[in-house]
Amino acid sequence: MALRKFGVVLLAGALAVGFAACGDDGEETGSTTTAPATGEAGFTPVTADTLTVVTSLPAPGFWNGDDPAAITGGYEYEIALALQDRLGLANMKVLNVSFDQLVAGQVGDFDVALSQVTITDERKQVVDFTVPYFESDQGVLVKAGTKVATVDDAKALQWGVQSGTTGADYVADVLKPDHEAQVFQDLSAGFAALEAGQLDAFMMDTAIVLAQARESNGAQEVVAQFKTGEQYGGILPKGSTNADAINAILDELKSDGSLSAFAEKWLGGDPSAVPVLTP
Amino acid sequence: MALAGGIAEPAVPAIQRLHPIKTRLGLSIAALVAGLVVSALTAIALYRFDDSLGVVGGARTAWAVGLVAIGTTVTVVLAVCGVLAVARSVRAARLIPDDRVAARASGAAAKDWAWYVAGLSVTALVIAFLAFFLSANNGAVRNQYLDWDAIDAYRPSLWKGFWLNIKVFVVAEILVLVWGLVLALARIFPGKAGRPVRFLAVAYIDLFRGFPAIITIYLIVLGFQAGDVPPFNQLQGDTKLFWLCTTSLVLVYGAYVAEVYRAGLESIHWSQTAAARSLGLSYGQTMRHVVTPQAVRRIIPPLLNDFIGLQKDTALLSVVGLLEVLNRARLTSNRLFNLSPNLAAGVAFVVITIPLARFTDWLVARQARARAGG
Repeated sequence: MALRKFGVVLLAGALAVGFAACGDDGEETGSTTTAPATGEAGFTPVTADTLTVVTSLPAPGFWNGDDPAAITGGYEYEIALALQDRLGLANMKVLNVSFDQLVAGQVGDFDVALSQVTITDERKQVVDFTVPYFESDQGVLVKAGTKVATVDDAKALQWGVQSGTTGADYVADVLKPDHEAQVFQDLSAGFAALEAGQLDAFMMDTAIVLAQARESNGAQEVVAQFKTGEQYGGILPKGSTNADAINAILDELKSDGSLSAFAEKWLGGDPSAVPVLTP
Repeated sequence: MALAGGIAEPAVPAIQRLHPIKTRLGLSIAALVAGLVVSALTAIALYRFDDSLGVVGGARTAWAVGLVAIGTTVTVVLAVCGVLAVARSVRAARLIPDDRVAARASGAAAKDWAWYVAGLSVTALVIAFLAFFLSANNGAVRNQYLDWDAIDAYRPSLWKGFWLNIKVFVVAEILVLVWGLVLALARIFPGKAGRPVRFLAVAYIDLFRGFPAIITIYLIVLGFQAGDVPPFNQLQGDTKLFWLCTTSLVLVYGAYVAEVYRAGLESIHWSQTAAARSLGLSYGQTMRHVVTPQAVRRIIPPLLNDFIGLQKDTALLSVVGLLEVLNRARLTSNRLFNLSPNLAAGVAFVVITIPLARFTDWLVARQARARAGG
């Protein structure tokens, strides 16, 4: 019996020590996360000898193909290839994530995300950006035949936007249509709703909707755009030490004309040919 | 008192050696110590949580007062229970020579108090764990889940969005009740002639139960619009989308509810049908007046269970762009880079689900009583 009493005391003691230890652990986790480990200068991939690139499919023109493992080409794909080449890495891995997770900084374990992400101050608070590599405005994608000649025309339409995009903010804060815009978590559902007639128009970056219009074989067209002066940048995990290495390569690609060549090849439509509306 | 033969009574009576009185002193002291350690841990956890809050002004004072109140309550209750346990043990030890019955009772009371400490300590540790969890990384965790500013910014959208969920849910629920019964009756349609009807019902139920709801929603809502399917092509804009979304959920949940109905219909003993038919009621009349009314009474609990599922699945309608509560939560969430609006949307569902679940429990209990003849 004495032994059992001793057991109870021992158990209580062990519990107390165990929980105290948990408390210490919490403290430690806190300090390691707030001060991320710093790598040496240059480029440190998350997986050895592999460039891990994140994007959000579908992205016609930027990443052609529906399967991240079987991309056939595209503007951002070419940039990713150039990065892999100039960083001297043997492999490239493409991961597909949801766009709103990406811009909310909720994606981990990647080197760079190339996903037509507009650089904004709000986003800069949760992720790091590379230098810009593309300029875009907001395009109006409609079913072929819909006329959008004036801003009033535009306001009368049933709009669709993608959650977490600058287009969603633009419709809600600047255009302010008569009906509240419907919100889609991914582009394919939005484009399908436009095709089904649930929407009259979809607001998205001009380059993206131009590519979509081209893929639709004349079923959809881009009839107008709104000037917003947006620039696309690659996303790096917050506090990444790889920014300098990647920025240097992007600057090179810009100055040697590679970026213009990629745009010519993959983004056939000329954004400047689309009529501009000003609300 | 001396026994016959002049032999002195032993100091510890035989009965005490066989059935010793347990004073529980060791357990009580362990409980007191453990209670104090748990109190200290809880206090540290709450302090850290308070530290991570990062609010100022009146809210800060309110939080501090609330947390200090929790910490003090935990400490006082645990300490009092622990002290009482030890006190009863000591009293039991003191009473052994004089009053064996009272000593036994006191020892038992000590054990009870010690176990109170154990139970309350577990509760306090859960509170402490939550406080530690939420305050981790200088409150980054708490900030992701419980950012009051984000929830406040989301509140107007929350009401607007959730009202739509409620509308879809209520309308769909009523239609599901009708549609499910039709399917169930078709599924148990009697006779050789009824075979094609039974086959169709089984095929429908298998298909719509097997299809992931999200795919059915996508196909019905977008497909019916693209195909201009009547009568939906007569509707416009929001009304059209509302009815398409509701219809898609009715099609999915009709299949589930049909099976619930069938279980109920088949649970009615065949003698009921036999009796009704021998009284001259037709098959239809038997179903209408005898079998279905008895079956429905039995299946109310599982039906409510499916309705809880239906209510939650209204959130799936965000895939087709319906501005329901989850879609609006994600919109705010994306703007503010914070998950709190999603948590608030989840809480809105729970607020409806919990009363429904308790109501179901109550119905089940009432039925059990009725069956037991109580």
